[in-house]
Amino acid sequence: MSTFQGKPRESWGQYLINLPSMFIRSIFRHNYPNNDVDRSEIVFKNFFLHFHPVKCHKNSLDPFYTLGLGTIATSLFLLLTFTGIVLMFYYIPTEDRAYEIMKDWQDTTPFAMMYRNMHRWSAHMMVLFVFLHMSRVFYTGSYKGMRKFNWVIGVTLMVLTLILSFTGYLLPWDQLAFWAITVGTNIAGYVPNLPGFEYNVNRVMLLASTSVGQDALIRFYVLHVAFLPIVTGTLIGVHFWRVRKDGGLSRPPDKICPDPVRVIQRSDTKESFAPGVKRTYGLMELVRGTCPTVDKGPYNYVFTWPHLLRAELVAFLLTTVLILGLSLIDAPLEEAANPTKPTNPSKAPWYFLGLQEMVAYNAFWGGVAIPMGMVLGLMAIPYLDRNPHGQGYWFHRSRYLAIFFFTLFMTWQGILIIIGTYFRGANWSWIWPWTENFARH
Amino acid sequence: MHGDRYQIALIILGITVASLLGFFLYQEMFPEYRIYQNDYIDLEKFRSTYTGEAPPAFAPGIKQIVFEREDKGPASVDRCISCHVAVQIPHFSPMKIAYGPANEISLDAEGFPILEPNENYIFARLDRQIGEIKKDHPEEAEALAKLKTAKVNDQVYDITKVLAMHPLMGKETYPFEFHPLEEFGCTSCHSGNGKGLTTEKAHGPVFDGQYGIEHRGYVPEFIEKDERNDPSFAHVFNHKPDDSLLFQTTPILVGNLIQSSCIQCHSHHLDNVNSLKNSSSASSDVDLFTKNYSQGEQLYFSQSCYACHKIAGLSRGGVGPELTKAGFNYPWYLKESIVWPQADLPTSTMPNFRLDHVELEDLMTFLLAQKGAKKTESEIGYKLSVQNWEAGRKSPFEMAILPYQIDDLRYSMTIFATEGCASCHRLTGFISNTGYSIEKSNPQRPFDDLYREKQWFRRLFPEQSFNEELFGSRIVKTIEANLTDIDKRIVNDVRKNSLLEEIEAAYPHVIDSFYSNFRYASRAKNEEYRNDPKKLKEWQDRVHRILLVYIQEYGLGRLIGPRLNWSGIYRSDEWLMEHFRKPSGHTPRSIMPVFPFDTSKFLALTHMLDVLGKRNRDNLNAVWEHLGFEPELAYQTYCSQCHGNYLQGNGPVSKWIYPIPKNLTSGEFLRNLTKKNAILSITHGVKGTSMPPFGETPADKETRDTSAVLSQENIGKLVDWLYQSLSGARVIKEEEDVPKWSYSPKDVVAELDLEKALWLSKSNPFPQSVEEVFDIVPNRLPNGDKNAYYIKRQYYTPENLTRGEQFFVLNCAYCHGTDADGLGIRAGGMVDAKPRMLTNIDWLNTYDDLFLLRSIKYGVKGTAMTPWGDLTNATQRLQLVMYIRHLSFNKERRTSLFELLYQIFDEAIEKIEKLRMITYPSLAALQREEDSIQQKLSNHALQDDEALTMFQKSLHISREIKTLQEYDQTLLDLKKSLGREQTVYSDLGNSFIAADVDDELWKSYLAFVKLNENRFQLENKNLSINKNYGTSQQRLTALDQLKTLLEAQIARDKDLLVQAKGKLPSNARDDAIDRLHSNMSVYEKLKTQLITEEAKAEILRKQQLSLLQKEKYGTN
Repeated sequence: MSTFQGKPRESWGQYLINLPSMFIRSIFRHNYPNNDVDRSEIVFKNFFLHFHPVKCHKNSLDPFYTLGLGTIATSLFLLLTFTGIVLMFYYIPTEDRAYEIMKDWQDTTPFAMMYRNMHRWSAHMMVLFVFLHMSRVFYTGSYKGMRKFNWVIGVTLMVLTLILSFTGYLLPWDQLAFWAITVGTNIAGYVPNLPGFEYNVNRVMLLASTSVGQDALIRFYVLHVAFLPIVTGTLIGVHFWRVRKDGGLSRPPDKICPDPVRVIQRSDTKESFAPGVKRTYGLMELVRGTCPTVDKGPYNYVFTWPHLLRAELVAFLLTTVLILGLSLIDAPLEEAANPTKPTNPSKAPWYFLGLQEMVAYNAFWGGVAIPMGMVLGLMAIPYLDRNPHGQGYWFHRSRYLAIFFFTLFMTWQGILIIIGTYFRGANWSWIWPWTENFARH
Repeated sequence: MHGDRYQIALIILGITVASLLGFFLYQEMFPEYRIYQNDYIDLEKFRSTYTGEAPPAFAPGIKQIVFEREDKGPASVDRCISCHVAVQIPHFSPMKIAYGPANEISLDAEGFPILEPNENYIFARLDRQIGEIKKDHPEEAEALAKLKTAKVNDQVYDITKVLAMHPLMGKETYPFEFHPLEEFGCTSCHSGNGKGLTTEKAHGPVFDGQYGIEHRGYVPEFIEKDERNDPSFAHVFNHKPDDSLLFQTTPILVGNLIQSSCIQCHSHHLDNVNSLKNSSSASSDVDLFTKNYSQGEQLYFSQSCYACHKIAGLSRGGVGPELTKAGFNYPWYLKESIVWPQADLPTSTMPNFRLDHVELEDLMTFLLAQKGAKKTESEIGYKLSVQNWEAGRKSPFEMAILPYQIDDLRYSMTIFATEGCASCHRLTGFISNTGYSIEKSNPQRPFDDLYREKQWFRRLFPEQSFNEELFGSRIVKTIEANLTDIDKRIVNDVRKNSLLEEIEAAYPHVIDSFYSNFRYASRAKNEEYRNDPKKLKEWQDRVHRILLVYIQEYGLGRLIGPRLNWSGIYRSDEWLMEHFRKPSGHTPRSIMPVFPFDTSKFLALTHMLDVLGKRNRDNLNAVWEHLGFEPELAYQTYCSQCHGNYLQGNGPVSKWIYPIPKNLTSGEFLRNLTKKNAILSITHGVKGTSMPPFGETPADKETRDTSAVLSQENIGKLVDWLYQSLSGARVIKEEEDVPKWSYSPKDVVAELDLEKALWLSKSNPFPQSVEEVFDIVPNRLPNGDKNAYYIKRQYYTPENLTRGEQFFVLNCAYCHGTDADGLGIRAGGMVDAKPRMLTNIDWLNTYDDLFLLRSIKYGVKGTAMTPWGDLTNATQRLQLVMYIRHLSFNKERRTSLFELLYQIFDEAIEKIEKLRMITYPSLAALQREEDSIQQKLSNHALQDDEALTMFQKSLHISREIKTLQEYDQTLLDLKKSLGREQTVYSDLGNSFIAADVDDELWKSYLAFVKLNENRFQLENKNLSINKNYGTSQQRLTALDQLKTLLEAQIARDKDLLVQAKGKLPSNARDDAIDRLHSNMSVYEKLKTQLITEEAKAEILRKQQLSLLQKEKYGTN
């Protein structure tokens, strides 16, 4: 029986022959993943893939369970980062140049409009898909159990998405942007002022001034391109990390081979049950014998490569196709911002039109109290919902009341947004979408 | 399996992404401008085939002109020449400069180069070439023909326009000689977006129909359409494009609108003199090129825009939005705002003037040029001139007119036609040289003949059809059908030197602008007679003749406001003057603006209305004499403008008058009105509304003329006719039969007696007789009752008023509005009659309290005012009436003050004006003589002795002129002084009103002011102080009385203050003390004001006295 005695010293010839593969191996520290070992290694040895598990549950791959919404939202974030960085090369955040530069590059700079359109549509779509993703998580009861706090992070990410989109809205510095931001920040101004301040401190903090101008522009710019993306990116990382740590996506308990549960002893001497170890790359050596689990991984788990990655790639490409397709519709660039010529009606970006609609009824309640309540209420859902059932099922029967209320809430907001978008004309009066809807100037 | 499906999906998606990216790449690689550049290159190649020259070097790509800004701001960039490559190349121009025999440029009379067809024009050569090879080489010909058009995104563009040399402007001999392209670029004149490189982005929305239209839904149509003949301006800037046109951009200026850019640097001679008159001779090149602009400026005045809108430095109107920077608006917005003012602001009171495309283009050119300071002007200079203007620098139309012009009918009628009156009002009495042929052939024609002609004309061209102005298409059809008849019967040169021709010569197109229907008719044959200018001219002349006769028949101007034909008869001079100065004074909610005219101009207009009124009345009376009174015809003439052709209260004028005219087909209303009241309404009008008193002649007319517009007999006939059409007309109830009219003061007292539990007042809880409740005064109201009944003032207690208010707000405000202004929530939906404006003083004063009580108790039939008798008791009704009356106390006081001051001061001013009128002609004559002598003197060919006599004469005349001028100046000073005194008393009176003084104090103030009445008298050119005019002793007594009254008030308040201070501390006590304190200080201030103001007035009076003595001295 021969024993391994170390690698024999190779000759120059051999070295040169092996050099290419060695070079490739120095970059990719695994072979092409055509066997289980390499399929594992590609995931845990690759920086870009390492936030995936080596193996994932089949349920997570079911396109009709997740609808790919989280992946699509992430893809949009990636697209936004990429196109945003391209746009940053051109853009100048000053009052007199911002608009001019947009006008200037639209025809002369190759692909400028494509990037701008992609960026705009991705932003709108991201808001939409974040909402959809949240709804999916709610309807499948995925915020239950140990995923409670990840839901809170998710809601925070949703708010960040809105703010990101909102800060980006101002940058073209056209009438649309200017008045949408004016309206949006006015809503912020309905938060009660701190005593002793002449102007509403909330609004002033947001705008760096009492009105939308150069100060607001640079503030929004920095928020949009640096601060908020970093915070969002980090939080997305945390979001994923927690998904990993919580054992992948939520799913109904496996009927045949349920997840192991281990008993843990806490310092307070109370015994409690926690999820068992599910790491699938711990047992990598071959074992001789006839034990029934030999040669098998955990039940219903498949390798991430290619299954999960392939699904993710499809979602990403779908998103790209969607965004490129939408980019055939040009992003609007109205006349340059003119503080003396308010548009009537001045409308906030569409996702804030629900708020604006509520503000039309009562500034404080519609603009501050209810939205705050909405965000806090959403965050509190996992802590209010005491029903342990329904995790991993779409529309579980035991959750009919929760589902009813959530649907009611989302429909209400949807209706408000639709009303704000299509049914509100000059002076925020009621109009029909097929009649005249803008006071012209 | 599973993997395969993914594989396929991945492949498909990958391909899709790649092809989408490919599409974007394609877009980048083939930009629109390359199409034109390639065409250009091909054309140059084609050119080289026949010239033999090599095609010029041309590097394809983006071409641009960059202007760096001095402040290092973003440079402006014009990339227009990327597509318009040939703007400077001569062989792309169809015309070229003609050269004379000695190779010099041939000029025309005005110094402009003469243009002739360019034999090198490349497209002409191309056409010729295509024609030549079409037979033999059809494919080549087709290839060449393709060079003439380019298809971009479903749009086909004409390359001959894209690649054309810029036309030569004025005295230019090569393009951009005076406006170098490198210095000016393109967008500085043409607007648009210079950075854009596609037609959409660069030109913006210009032509309608190429883009989606933003506003959907109901859009009213204002002028008739005639696709074939409408000017090209009809197709542009009608709509704002919708979101489908992204990159909204400033549209380029097309057609004549571009003149608005010329004005940014060049000045038009009109701008400098600021005159209304548009002399037809242009004084400079710029004038020649900005004709439309100057037309627009003239329209701005003749269409009365200036009375409502402000343009800094030009017009001071304050009703509509300011137009100083109107040029920064988008053209479609301007156009829409003119043709449909309610599109943006549904409550706008701007009427639609139905301007024709021609006028719209001119007016828009003028408005687009309004951008504040000119580019050639310094900021400071502009600010200074605006400040001067704001401080009161007068424009020509604001100045006083010359005294003799007040009586000059021609002058005042020209003002009417050209300075805005005719824009809304229609007035007959304008005569033109055109007329009926029988007038020409037979000056002594019998009335019959002429009347028959007129009937014929009126039948062919009625003023309105279906309450609408006569349609242009109908005019065209009628003319076509009666061509020979019209040419035979309507002819030119019937008279000589008529006014309309004079106005047309001095102010071209002004008269046409009021009649868009005739404009329509006038151009209806443009296309048909395109190649027959003679026939076209004939047609246009024919339409013009008909228009002139139309004006003579129906009047000059638009039918937006009421017709003024008889205003001079039934409106007193005082009424007319107040209407000029404050249109909403006698007719609430009048939309008429205050015209920035001097009083003298208003006097002239009043005079004009008086004279024309009489003339119009007599003309109509002649018809009635001839025909006998025909009620139906009379209705058409007098009433239909408001009440509509079909008596429904919707005549052309009804839209803008308040309250809306009554629907005379409503039997319910008419029955309730009774014939007697109908006759009264027609005879005496309805005060405070637009219903004029057809049977009245006011007393303050210069020459007392007692014959009214309609005689009592005729009014009776008219009313009979009105009631005839009612169903069941035979049983019209008389007044006695309607319970409303038999409700008497006695019934009121009886009701109060029944309601003993409800007290009207504590002092007299149970009034037993009519006298205890009402002040009974002999009736001076037109309703014919013997007595008028007014609730005694003692019942106007705070409690009653509060109760009245509570009841009003709870029940009445729903329709009448919380401010009792007739604008309640339900008012909008009412069709036949709107709720009354209960603060309308003129209207309220025509009725006594009994009438109001009746209307509340029994309602007003035929309107939404239901009987409230069952829902109220007599006490509540009385309280309501008191509340309503109380609302207008201040307003009533203001009106009475105004009337009194008018009587005292304006009439005195008028007397002085008359005096000036007497002397002014001699002054003017002297001045003319002086001028002629000066002219002769400057002629060197004079003999010495001749010159000497002339010089002496000139000296003599100038001395005389000086005296006369001094005299005139004295009169002017006197007028000014009187004006100041008037302001003193009006200010003082307003302070009294604001202080809410009690009746006694108010009456004594009025008496005090009244002491100034009849101060001057005018006898045989002599102005003197009236002997009976209040002495200073009287004045002192009156002043003392006022002072005592004020002091009494203060003393009383002081007592109350002591009382209040004695009470237990509470909020109510503090409030009462505060109120009393402020009351006292108000009265204190009033007292001081009274003394100082009276001192001021005394000084003015002394000044007047000395001026008067000086005046005497002057005449002696």
